[in-house]
Amino acid sequence: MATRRNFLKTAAAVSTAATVGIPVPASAQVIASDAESEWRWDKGVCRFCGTGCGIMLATHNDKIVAVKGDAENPVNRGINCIKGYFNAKIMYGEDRLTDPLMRVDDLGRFSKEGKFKPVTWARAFEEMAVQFKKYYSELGPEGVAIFSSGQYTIPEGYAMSKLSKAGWRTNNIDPNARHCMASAVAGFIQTFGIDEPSGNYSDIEQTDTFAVWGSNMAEMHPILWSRVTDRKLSNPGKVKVMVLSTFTHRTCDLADEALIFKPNTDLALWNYIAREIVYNHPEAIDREFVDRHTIFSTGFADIGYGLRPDVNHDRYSAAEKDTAAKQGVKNLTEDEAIGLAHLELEDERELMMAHQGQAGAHWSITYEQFKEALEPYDLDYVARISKGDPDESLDEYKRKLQLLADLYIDQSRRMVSFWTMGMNQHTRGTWVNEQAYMVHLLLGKQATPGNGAFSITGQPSACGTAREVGTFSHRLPADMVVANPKHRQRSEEIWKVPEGTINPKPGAHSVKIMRDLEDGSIKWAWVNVCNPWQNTANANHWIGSARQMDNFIVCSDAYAGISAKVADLILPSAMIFEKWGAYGNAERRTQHWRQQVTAPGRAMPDLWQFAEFAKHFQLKDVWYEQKVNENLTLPDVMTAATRMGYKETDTLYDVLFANEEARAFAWPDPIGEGFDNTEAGGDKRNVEGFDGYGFFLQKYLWEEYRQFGLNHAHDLADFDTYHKVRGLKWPVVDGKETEWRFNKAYDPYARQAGNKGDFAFYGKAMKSLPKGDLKSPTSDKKFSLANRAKIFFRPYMEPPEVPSEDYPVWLCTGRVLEHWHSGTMTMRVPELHRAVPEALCYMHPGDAEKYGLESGQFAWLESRRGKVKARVETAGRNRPPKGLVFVPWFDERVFINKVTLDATCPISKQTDYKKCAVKIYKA
Amino acid sequence: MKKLNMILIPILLLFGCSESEPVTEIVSGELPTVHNSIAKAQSYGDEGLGIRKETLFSEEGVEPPLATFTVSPPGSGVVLDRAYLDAPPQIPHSVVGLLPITKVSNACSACHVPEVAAAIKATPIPASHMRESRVSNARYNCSQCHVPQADVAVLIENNFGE
Repeated sequence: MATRRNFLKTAAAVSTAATVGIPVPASAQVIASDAESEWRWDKGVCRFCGTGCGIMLATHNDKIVAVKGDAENPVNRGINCIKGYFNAKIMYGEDRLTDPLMRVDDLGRFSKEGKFKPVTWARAFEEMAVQFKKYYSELGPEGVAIFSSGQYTIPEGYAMSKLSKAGWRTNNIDPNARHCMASAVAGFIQTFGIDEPSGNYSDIEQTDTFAVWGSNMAEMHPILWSRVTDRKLSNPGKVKVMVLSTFTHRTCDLADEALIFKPNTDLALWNYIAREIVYNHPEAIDREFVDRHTIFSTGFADIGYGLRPDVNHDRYSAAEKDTAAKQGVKNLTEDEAIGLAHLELEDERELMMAHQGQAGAHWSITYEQFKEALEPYDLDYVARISKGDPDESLDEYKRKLQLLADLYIDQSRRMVSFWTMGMNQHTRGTWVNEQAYMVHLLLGKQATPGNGAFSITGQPSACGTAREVGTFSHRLPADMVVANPKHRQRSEEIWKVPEGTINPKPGAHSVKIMRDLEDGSIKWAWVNVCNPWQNTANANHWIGSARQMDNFIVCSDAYAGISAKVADLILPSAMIFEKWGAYGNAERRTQHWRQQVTAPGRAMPDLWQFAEFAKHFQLKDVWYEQKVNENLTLPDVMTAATRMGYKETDTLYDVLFANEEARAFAWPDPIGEGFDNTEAGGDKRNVEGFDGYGFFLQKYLWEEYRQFGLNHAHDLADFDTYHKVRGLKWPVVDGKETEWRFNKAYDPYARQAGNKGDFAFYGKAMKSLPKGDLKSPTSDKKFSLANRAKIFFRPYMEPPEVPSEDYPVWLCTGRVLEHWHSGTMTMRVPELHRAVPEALCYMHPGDAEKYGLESGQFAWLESRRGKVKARVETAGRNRPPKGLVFVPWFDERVFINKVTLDATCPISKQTDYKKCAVKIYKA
Repeated sequence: MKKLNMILIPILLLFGCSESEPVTEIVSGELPTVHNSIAKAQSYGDEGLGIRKETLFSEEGVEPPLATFTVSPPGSGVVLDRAYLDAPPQIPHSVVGLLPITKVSNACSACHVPEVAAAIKATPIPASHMRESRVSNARYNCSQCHVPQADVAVLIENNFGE
């Protein structure tokens, strides 16, 4: 009898042979078809980046046995990248967490100093609840926090958002997407009044010009890059690809030109293009589009860098203080002063950060004022301050800059600008996102096929979950915000909770949660589908406060990463194909999958964990009066709740997750025939006696969630539809997806807007502005700019920390193709680990020589905040110019976030992981 | 190569075991009967978990072991077993001088296009990747799926296919 191993090997051989046309022996064919005939194939979505590739999963004996690209999925048309193919193996690392683990003393009591021991789920939840209630009663709703995720399934993110905001009345829930997409979000909201891109991936086939800014798409979005490559090679003479980066990487290899610029000067590059349009090619401005559909705007420049407001905070080390001081006042360089000429500063060399508290404030200006502000950004100035490779001649660099501007300006060309973390992880990330729209809107190259500034998402559901569900500290579903009373009211209605339940004060964003833990103002935190102790910059502070302070950290994960190691309680989570789920990708495409296999050991889905933990709270614990701070007390809503039929002994599980509506969604359901649903029906393990809730929890959550978006420009289809299609791009109106938003030829919401012209930028947020000049608003009176987008002027500024004599080298961090984020999944796939076994320090050979290093030797990289060792690589895929090194962050043995700086964009609160100053020496 | 094969063999042997894992009976409130190497431990500290075995609070002794990539030139490598049915084959030879792939140069296709591959016993690019007689433009970036493998011990074993 053929063994299983033979089945697999033979099947692989036959399949390969079939594709290359080699005859296969008849006996082998029989064995192969037997092996495959036992496999169940079903559609899924890749676990990794924001591209959202479709995959086909083969399951046998309750294990994933193969993965292939989904040929029917329009995103990837059957192709995957190497991580995509290895979705098959990510769940099978030998050290999967299979039991809750708690730090306990010899008597089995929780102890901060204790070692981890396996405990039951019941014991784990009991301790979690005791600790939660202790700190909640001490500190109020702001004393607890959730690290949420752009890798949650949509129902998971929705459930946790509901539990936090409607149950515990805390807005301290913020995702790792804060570190990834927040600047893109702020750019969208400020410019369009609504989040997420106007275009879709078919822009790639419809354009003839690409500019890729701060994005190594070839490694980070390989399938989108394969589509760009396909387009480029299909007409290499016509199709142009320009890549803008601070170092040379694989994306540059396919480019017509690569512009290597000095970190942060992308702000100046965009202004150079705009200046070329406005001063030298005004005929290229799409006047009708600009007049009808846009207004001009600007905001304050003296907004700080997202560091702690107290520049003398007692937790800062002495070495950190000079960078920390920039939050209060920045000594301007001569180059900066030129770019800030529009401010007419009395002292051109010093900028007091007077508008830290109004970082996002903006007002309308005239076209003439916009033009005046751009005046300094000519070719000579911008080329001089932005050239990033000391070995390139200024003339050659200028030639590339001019070519770049010419390609944008050429009205016979369609233009797509793509970007990711280079523009988002930036202390002026919101500004630089707005600048991309500035150029595209001036030219009228936005929201039409093949034309658009297109922000590409990093995580698989940063759009679908973090942004659309709103698992942020200030957001509610469908672009609503907690600070808006009407939005709270609408959410309370859908959630069937009393008016006044939701806390109106935005909570702590991700970096602030870490700072608040260090300050002792948050003492309980739960990590969901992320790894904040590895991914937060300036990590020495945060690992210290987790282990040395009075607090309780819970980490739900599938493998023990750094966040699990510093936690007090580790909960074993089911992984992607061990549960039902849905993700939303970077082109607004929502895709669902079914549970394929059972989780190992006692690992359970995060959604189950949220529902079970909710059972530990009665309404009387959370819905009476709650003091938030001296100025804010949340009202008692228990009386109103009683009128709604709730009892004070009802649990949050009863009210939020297992109410009458929820129980109406029966399980089994025909859409799940033949598939398990651990939450709804339990599974063969019967973990601690759990045999399912008896209703289709995920479907209930989906159908409730989509009420937020229906008729509010965020329409999603019903649950079952997504199980029959390869995703749909929202808004889905009358069963039809929307290809290009804001364009009346494609978007029903644009047609409904009732304005003149072919477009309607109908987003509702920030659509009422005062008028002002280039320095400040000049009146309080606001006017409406319904259906218009904003063309922002934003100046060039330096980041708060730049290379100096003591720390002479720029450090840029990021990813590599083969590994995902903090590496917890991909480092456990042998093929991926062997492909890139460790995080290297990519360095120019001239710098290696300068610092006495050779390729393959360990070097110390040391900043004001910490140091790590990494092997030097001078001939790798990343080729930095002299003066800059690149170190990826996937490897917990090269804990690079000990070195990085926790400065953020003051508007978006997104960390700049791309720029800090280090010294390098031999280890 | 030899050392690499020694690493691969135990992983591939795992394909041989198809029995599903024993179902663990759990009674609420009691510590579980466990079947997994982690839970068997009575207790362990941070260093007993995960990939990094050193304390998080110092970087002094933290150095990933040296991983070397084969220097065998193309044509001399031994074909590596695929991870599963139709998994992308890995590169068994040195890629020094062959990467990067650029818009004018793709050194991989020189040997792996079917008509050449057959003659020199290279792994042929399959029909799914071809458009007429050329590699599909969408499949031009070979290195997005096909990667070399370093000679380095796995960090954590993987039980795929068990």
